Amino acid sequence: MKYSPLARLVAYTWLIVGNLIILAPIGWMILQSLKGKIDTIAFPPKFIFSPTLVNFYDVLASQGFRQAMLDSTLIASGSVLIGMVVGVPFAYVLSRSSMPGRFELAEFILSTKMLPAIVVVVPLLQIYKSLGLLDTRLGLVIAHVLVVLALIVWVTRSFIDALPVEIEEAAYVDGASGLRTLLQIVLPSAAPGLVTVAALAFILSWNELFFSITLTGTQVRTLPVYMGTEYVGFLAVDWGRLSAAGLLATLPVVILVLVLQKYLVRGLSLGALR
Amino acid sequence: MLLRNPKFAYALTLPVTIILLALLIYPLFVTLKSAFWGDNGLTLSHFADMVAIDGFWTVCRNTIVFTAGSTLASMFLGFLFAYSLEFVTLGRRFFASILIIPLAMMPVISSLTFNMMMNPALGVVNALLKEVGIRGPLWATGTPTALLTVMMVDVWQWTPFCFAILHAGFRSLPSDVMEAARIDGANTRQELFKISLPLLRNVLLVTLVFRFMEAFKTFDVIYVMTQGGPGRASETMVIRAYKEAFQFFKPETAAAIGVVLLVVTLISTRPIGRALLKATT
Repeated sequence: MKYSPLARLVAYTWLIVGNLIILAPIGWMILQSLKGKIDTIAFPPKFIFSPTLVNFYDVLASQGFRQAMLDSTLIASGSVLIGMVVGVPFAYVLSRSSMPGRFELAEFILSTKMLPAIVVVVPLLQIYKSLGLLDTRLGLVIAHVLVVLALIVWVTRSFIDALPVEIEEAAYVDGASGLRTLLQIVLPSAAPGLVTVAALAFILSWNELFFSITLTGTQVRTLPVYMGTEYVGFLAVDWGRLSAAGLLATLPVVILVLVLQKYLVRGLSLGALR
Repeated sequence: MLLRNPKFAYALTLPVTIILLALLIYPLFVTLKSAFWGDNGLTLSHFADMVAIDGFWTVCRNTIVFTAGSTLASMFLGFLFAYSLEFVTLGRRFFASILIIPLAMMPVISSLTFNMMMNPALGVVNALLKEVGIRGPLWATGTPTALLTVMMVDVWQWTPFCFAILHAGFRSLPSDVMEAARIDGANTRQELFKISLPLLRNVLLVTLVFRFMEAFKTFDVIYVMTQGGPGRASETMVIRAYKEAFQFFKPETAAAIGVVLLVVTLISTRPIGRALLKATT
């Protein structure tokens, strides 16, 4: 690598400026979350103040936030679980079978990722109403399966594609059934990939707003819905608590993304690039 | 080819097929029906209603400006980050880690945070602008700046997406080719335009189409920051369809907008499907 010192200087400068812009909102959130109520709305805004953890205590003590945390966790886990159970076998077929129509189906799954959810939400709402799924955790879990399915199928497929097919063929020759090959050979060797896929899908569901806001109301409130309504009143926004709650809701996901950094691109491009 | 037993293969695909039928295909047909079906059979009157919406063309223009602007800006910035990292050896991993953080941020939270920072009266952005003698704009609450403000937040949210993919693309460029070019005396610019960019063509294309789709269906940022306002200043088709369905209770008009969104989506999804299939088969 031989680049001119000037080029390197420009690159470094741009990277530092860019990183600061990326970090600015997060940094400001941290500052605001540590301020007392008066300090958060002080003008000009304060950069130096006596920090307090009261916002974090308040948020963690509030019934609503804890409920939202629980709802989000249950709904994301549930939808990822169902998504994996139905999506992984499908990805296996996509990778290892010559079943006609499989690519058409796969492209169809892709469209769930591409389609603005508004196109299907009104009929979905009517179905939910008649089935009593409106404003229930189960209902939102099912809707979120739609949100995570494309990612699960396509990324899992890219992981299975990378496995050597010879082992499965040997198992077949030895008389193992298809199901046994899948359960005892493919799944264990794909396990690291599957964990990655599940984690990425979890993030998608965790951050999802649209279905949550349209299909649930008072009984079930995920974090995005709760954040958007609880701390934003008509007259006053509780910036301190909002920031504290935002950080608490974001931190687990940020850690997850940083841990998964290596596989991120595969997830972002649905397995097209790795 | 493994999985010779077709029955087993069909059994494995069945759950996904059922889910798609129930959650996607059936609702799609209902949407199509309510978009094209009136009191007296087939009709285009719902589309006429859609076009007659007050400010419909503004909404169309907003959608185009938002989608194109956000897509291009985040592609450009993401590319700039990824390319800059090629000049850097010390701290490359560190920079890369920071640059992907917004990917993990809930769009609701980043939108609320930007609203807090760009609050015209009390926000930190206008306070800092005031320090250097600039009177800050009204940002999300001002008619001329609302669309630009939500676009800025969207770009902040999605530049990391473009960066992450393009960074991986740059990292995967064959080092022997780059080395050979350098030995043959290619300068930095030739290296970029004659070697890197052509090799990155597919990566760039995949990134662009994915990014375009996400920008086109953006809901969270606009919904949280402005709800499409003030007036219609930052209203896009998706937001408008949401309002038609859930605020004005006109599901037929929402369905008509949905059909338009669907057509655009289908046209733009084709190349992705192709690219994905090609990349992995």
